Amino acid sequence: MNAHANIDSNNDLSGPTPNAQTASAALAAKVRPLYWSLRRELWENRSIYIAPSAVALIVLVSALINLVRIPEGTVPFHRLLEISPHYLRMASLSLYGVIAGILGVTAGIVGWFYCLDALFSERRERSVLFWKSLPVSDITTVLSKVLTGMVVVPLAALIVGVVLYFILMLIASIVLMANGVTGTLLFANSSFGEAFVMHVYGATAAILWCAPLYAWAIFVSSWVRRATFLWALLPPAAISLAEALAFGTQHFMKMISARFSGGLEYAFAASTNAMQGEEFHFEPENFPDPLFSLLDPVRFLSQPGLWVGLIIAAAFIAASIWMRRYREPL
Amino acid sequence: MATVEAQGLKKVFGKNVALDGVNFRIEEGRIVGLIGPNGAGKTTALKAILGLTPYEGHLTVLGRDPYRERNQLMQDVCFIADVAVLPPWIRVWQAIDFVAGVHPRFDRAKAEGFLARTTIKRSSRVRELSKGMITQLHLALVMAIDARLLVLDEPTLGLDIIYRKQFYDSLLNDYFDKTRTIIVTTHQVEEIQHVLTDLMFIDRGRIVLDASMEEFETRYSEVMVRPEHVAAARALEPIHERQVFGRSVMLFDRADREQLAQWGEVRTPGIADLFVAMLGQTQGAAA
Repeated sequence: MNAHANIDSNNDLSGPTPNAQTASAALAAKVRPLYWSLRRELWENRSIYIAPSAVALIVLVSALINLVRIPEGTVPFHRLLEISPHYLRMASLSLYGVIAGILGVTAGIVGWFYCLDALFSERRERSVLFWKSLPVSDITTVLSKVLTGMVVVPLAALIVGVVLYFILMLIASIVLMANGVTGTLLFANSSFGEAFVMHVYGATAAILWCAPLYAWAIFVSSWVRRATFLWALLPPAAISLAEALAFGTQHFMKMISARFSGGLEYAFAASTNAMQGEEFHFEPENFPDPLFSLLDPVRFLSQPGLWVGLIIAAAFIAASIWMRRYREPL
Repeated sequence: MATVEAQGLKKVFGKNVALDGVNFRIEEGRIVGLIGPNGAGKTTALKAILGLTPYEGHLTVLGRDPYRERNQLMQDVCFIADVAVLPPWIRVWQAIDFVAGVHPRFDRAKAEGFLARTTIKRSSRVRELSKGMITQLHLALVMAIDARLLVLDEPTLGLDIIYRKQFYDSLLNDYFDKTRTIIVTTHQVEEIQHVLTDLMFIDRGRIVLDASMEEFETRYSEVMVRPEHVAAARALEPIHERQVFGRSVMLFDRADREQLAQWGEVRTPGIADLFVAMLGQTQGAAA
């Protein structure tokens, strides 16, 4: 026995210092349940990556169909070389913007419906009793679901969007090459890096702005017994109706619909807001170089509505954690 | 230190008293059967022990307050709530990966070993498995966790007899040792009689019997009384009498076995018979 003890203590000396070891072990012990909870959400909810992929496939197929349907010789490809690189850049950015928009809306819808089911499905199938038999706290579980709906889902859409953009750019370049135009022309004028930064910034702003909508969906999923969608819509509808009947006003409804814009009207400089108006023209001067002059984080962060929304979201999430702790399976 | 200690444990749902200030102690290394009719308070007691429900009174599990310290407690406590709680969408390998990922005391090799003895495929989803296989999977996961307290609430509900027998055999042979404690509730009482070390009857929120199996065996006797002795036997006030093939079977509490042996064959009663004798009586009295 003594011999064994000696060997063990010798081994300890050769390892990292006990303090550092316990500190990193303690951190790992905190992070591991969250990491595995996120993986479990991906196993359970394959729509997280299937939905944006399906949308991307539809865009890709329709783009290919359009390409095939262009009658021979109608597009003067050789004249592309004559136009200004600014126009090529604008075309590339517009393509990126359209893809980011389509997949952003997809992510928003998928993420919201994911949240609406997040704490409901485990109660419905009673598996909450299995999850609760493991050393994963209610806080970790609920946060993993919040992170999945608000970060993982948009991230999946972002990755799919970038891949789709490159595929479409590649196809366009191949078409150009087939028509005798140098294949690197589009990529050389794409400003992809700028577009990507704009995309990440805009997506982050939209997620923060819409946070109360997601948190509300998670909260609904934590307490309803059935018909999650109905329960998600009913209380806001009732409040709006009561307000309209009592005061003849629509403040509550307007407050909610203001969230659907994703706060992008505040996140980007005033000039970009013209994009939403009909008078916007696709002219290179509307795409400043670099694009970053369009970012307006100060204005976004100084919106009281942003912070009020985040506080409401935090309250709904805290309430959801409480419900996870107390609610019984259905 | 007792594994579970309850003093004045009380739980009220509205007007319904689920647990009426019960006291009990479960020592380490015991296998306790918690037996009671539906709605007697069994599940409430288990939920309190697992920290799933708030309660009044004093309760410690492994020295902790199960409700307030639930997260730490779940490192040392495992439970199978009932058969169908594994999520239907999860694949066998995902379930193993997840438990291995979050539970510091999970022994993956052990779980794989248990599964290798079954016909469960690692790529199957739980919804594709039979009820018996789901229980085997759940048991394989739980038995690979080095927990100090295992709580089983109707673990074999809806299983056929072969799986039920396998379940308890694995539990005894591959899992149980003197440092672990198991609390089990079931309606199939007879099948676990040889498994248990302790017995607890619970009825309408009260504990009506709390005894070790040795106590149970020495205290209660059942006699199939020959017809000519029925009157004499009845004079000794059996706690229960029933008719089997036209003969009286009487159950005695703390009777002299040698005396009983004069009237007929004496044996230790089944848990179910004692259960019916004790609870049938109280329910009759209440009616």
